[in-house]
Amino acid sequence: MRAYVGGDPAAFGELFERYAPLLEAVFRRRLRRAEEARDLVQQTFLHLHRSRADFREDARLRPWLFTIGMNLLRESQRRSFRRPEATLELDGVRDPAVEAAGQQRVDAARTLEVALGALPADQRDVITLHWLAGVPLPEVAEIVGASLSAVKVRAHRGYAAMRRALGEKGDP
Amino acid sequence: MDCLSALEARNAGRTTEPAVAAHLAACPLCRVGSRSPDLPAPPFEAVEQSVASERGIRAGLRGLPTRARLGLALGVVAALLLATFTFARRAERPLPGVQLLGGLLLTVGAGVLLRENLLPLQAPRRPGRQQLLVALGLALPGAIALLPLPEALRQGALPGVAPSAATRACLIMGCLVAGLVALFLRALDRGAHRSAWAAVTAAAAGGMVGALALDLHCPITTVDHLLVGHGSAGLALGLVYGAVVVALRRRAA
Repeated sequence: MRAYVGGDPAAFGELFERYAPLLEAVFRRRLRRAEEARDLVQQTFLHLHRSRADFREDARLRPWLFTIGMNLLRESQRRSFRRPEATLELDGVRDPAVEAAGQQRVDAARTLEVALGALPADQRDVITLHWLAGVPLPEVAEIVGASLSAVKVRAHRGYAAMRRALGEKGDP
Repeated sequence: MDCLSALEARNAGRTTEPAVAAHLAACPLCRVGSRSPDLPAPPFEAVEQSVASERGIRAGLRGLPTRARLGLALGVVAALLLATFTFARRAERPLPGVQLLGGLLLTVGAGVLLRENLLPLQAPRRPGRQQLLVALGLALPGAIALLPLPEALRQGALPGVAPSAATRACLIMGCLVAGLVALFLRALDRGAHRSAWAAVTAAAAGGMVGALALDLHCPITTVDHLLVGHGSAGLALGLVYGAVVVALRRRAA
């Protein structure tokens, strides 16, 4: 990012290569259509470009980028006047590892996605970032604008709820 | 080991620890959540085109650092108020203390709303409930200001000027100043203009600046006139702005 702010246009492509798949995976879990997720990734990077003058040298890019992405996601969901829904159709998320393991695991993934969709919004944001995008909790706290302890509580409750949902469905 | 600890260890790259590895392998929740490293990148061309089309004055304005954008917005507000003050009709100040306090409150309120409106997207947003409460808090004084509307249209306070005409003139001037502020905020906007929160804060900030400008300009001090003519510019603009935002959203959808 420092290289891009410094005027190296090729650095933007590298940033895109590194972070776009992760962002798209997060968006796909939260939006029904793959095109919406892709569009949101593009918007996130356009905003990253517009905001590049705000980037501080000592800042970390991942929480910065994910905050933009999560804000756009929330706005997009608010605009569409609907609750964020789990991707019940398989055009949503295709996790090759899960699909390869067979139908049983695909069903488990669906169950988990439904459980994720049923969580309160603040828990869902934390779980999506931590569980799916692999963002450490201190960075998640930066992204959602809450204290680390508050984020830990949300994550703990969210995972507990998802495990309960999984247990109720009788998954492995 | 619980899921939270296991996933936090995974996120920190400590997947080789036996307890972590055992949990990640056994727990269906953690297993499904593990991201696929071979997910392909989405096409870059569309982003490249959008970035390439970022040219012109507006792109230059919104590409400025947030502090510079805020400084510019404050500069425009100061210029509008200075222009109003220079061409002010008002000579006397019957209630200087109250007017000073009102002016101070409006200035602080407008400053906070300008900051809120220009908040960059990399800053976490307030929860929707908080935003709704603030929006209701801003709409309530505007709605109360409209209560004495019939009275304000009947009574006169300025010799030679019809009361309804004076009230209407002030409302129009307030909306004009407010509109200029909102338009400039729109030019500085990095793309969040379609959000309802951006519309609310822009209209309210503009309305407060409009009320400040009228306070410098208009000699009428009757409560009805002040409420309807001066106080409701933000609400009027907010309603128009809201209608435009909704129409734009429908068109985009």
